[in-house]
Amino acid sequence: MILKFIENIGDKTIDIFLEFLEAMKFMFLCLWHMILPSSYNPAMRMVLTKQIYFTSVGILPLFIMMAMFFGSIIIGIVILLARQYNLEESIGSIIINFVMDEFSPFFTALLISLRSGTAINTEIAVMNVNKELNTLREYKINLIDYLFLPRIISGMISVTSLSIIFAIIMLSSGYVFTLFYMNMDFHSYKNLLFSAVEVKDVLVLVLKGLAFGFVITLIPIYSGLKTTNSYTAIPISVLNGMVKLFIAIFLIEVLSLVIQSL
Amino acid sequence: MLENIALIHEVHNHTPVHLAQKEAMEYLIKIESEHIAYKRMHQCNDIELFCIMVIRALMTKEKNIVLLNPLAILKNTEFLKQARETLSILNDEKNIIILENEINRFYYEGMKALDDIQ
Repeated sequence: MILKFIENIGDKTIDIFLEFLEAMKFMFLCLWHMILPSSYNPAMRMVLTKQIYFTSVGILPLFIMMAMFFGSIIIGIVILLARQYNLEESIGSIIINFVMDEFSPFFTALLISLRSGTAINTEIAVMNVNKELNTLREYKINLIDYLFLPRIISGMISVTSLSIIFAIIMLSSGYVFTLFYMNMDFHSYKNLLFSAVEVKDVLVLVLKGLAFGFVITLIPIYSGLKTTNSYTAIPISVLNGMVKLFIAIFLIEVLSLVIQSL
Repeated sequence: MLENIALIHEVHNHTPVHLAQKEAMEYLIKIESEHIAYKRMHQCNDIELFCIMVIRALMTKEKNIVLLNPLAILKNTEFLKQARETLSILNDEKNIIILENEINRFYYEGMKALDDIQ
């Protein structure tokens, strides 16, 4: 019985490892197509433009409101805590590190994964079940070039640009708190932030945005492709895809913290 | 539906989007079905979907086009005459081969074969 149990663990481990290898193979295939000039045909460019619009422009009003709301409250809390622990001299770098390196990319990634990740996963799963993917293959239309690449690239561009917008709005709206609580004029606040910003912060913001955007689209696409030929398999595919996506987002976050601490 | 048809030339011939859609629209105008252009799939009836599939197949480089069980798509035998007229108007270059169930031969009798009905 113990032997059987160990065998089962072994089988499960091998299955997970093989699945992981297959996912890595798909990821490198998509990356390869991303750098091939022949992938960028007129149809692909049109889909890419539409995807960027749906992913980032559509969410802007809600996004801006949340950035302003969270910006003033969270920066207020950060300032209060900094004062409590006599860290007033480092308020600028604390705010910049927190907003640019951590909160903006992570919050943006969560929002876009809930909105666009689920939509992409469902869309690809439904197309798979309806045999629409087979029709595209019959017409010799490369699925990676026409369907997957526009979504992946739009995810990377959208998450990065929305993270930057979120950071800017959050830092700007944080001034509201500093004005009423610390009586700080805008010029001083601006200097405080600009003196704290380093190239490393901008790099971290951009790289995390690109990494998050990549996984937010790739994992749902891969999960949608794995849907079996039944409509009841679609919610299961979305469920599995979203769980794997959130694990990936947390892994990237932990990895970035480890790299920054080196 | 217009994007659906234009996709073939956009991908295989790298035709710009506006030109590919113009070509697709010309096909629809030939069969007096421009109204289909901006419909989505669920808004089209069976004969409209059939016409879209035929035009899409005509856009490919293949010499032969095989229609497999057209009555399964058309569902209504009254559409068969309209489908035949559509094929006559649209096609002047390719070989169209219709594969149909023996049980449906009756519905094709009296019609001059476009090419082969097997």
